[in-house]
Amino acid sequence: MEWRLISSQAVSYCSWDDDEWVFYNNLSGDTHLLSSAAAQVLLGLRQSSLNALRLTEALAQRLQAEKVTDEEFSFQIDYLLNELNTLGLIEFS
Amino acid sequence: MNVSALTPSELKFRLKKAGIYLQTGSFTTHLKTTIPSVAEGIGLLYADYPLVEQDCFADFHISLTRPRNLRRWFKPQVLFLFDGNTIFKPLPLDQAFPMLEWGLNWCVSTHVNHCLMIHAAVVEKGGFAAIMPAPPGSGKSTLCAALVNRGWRLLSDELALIRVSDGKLIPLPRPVSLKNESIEIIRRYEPNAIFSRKVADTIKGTVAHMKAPADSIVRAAEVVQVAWVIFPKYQAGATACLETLPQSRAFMRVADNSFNYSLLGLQGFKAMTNLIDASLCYDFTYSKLDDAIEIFGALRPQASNNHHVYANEL
Repeated sequence: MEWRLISSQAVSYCSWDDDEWVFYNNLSGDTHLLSSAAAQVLLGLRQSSLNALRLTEALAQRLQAEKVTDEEFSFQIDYLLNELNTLGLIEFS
Repeated sequence: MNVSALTPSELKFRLKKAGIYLQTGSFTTHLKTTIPSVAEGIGLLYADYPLVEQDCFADFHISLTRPRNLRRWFKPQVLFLFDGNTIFKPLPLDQAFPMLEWGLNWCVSTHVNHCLMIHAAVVEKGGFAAIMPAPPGSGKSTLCAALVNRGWRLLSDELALIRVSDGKLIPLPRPVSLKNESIEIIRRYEPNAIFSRKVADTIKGTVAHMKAPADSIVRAAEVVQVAWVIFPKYQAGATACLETLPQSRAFMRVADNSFNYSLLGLQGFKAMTNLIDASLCYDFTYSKLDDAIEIFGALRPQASNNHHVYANEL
């Protein structure tokens, strides 16, 4: 099972300090304040759809995952994916 | 010709017959009324505002009238009409002038969508504007009234209008709305300030309006670059404190205080991004107006090459 950005929506974003990002979803009209980790997940899905494992591997270095165990990091990514799905920003492909 | 060129009786006559075309900032309002307290309020607080030629274009056509029913004699009321239609429930006649002010705010906030509109007071000094968004009760208008009595230009007490096309702020200097204790605080702070008569028992408590400084009215056509977004909060006994606010947080809070951010869609997002990028953002807690004046006096805009938003599309 892979995750992807919702294809029909246009999402704009901005950030000033990398810690927090503001995303605007043109389809829903909603604006979201997201953490750096959530933003990296969305940016990671720009090129292609990915399953949670591939996404975890791709983001581990960027998000300094060495500070937590593999299980904790995977859990955090799963949680983020579900949150982003709830917000209508990503979907199962 | 300004309103002050008319005698009180001429003003009353015009308001009663053809109405007046009042220029407030970039808006022209065609106003008719037979209510004496409204005419008196206009004569006092709008004396320095230009009157536009009769029968010209007006952005808003409004009138304040008394209902044609038993309420004419029993607990009399006032109605606010926009394009001849009733917009709000009637209020006690004594509240006619505050109702005009609230109604004028409504006219702008519901019709002006070439601008990103924020519920905020706005003042300017040295060519740069400080936007102060805040919910009611935060001391926004009190602080605004103090600042404009100490050398800052009044751009608006209620509505920050950010032009979507270029991000410039369009001034709308109108009387400053004060309520309850704030009225006497500003009276004491600036004994020369001109106030409308206090009106008690309104939905906001006791209210009075302070006349905008004449210089702010004369310069109402000068658009301004925004340099600061400051969220004021009055807190009794607090030491004045200006605390830097992350711009992403400021973005969300300004959006929460905007009338039409969602309505503008992507344009609104881009306008807000540019506004926040151009601004230094702060939380500001205060209790003493003099301390606030001193801190605002020390504000400096960020260098133009210091804007560092990273913006893109997925």
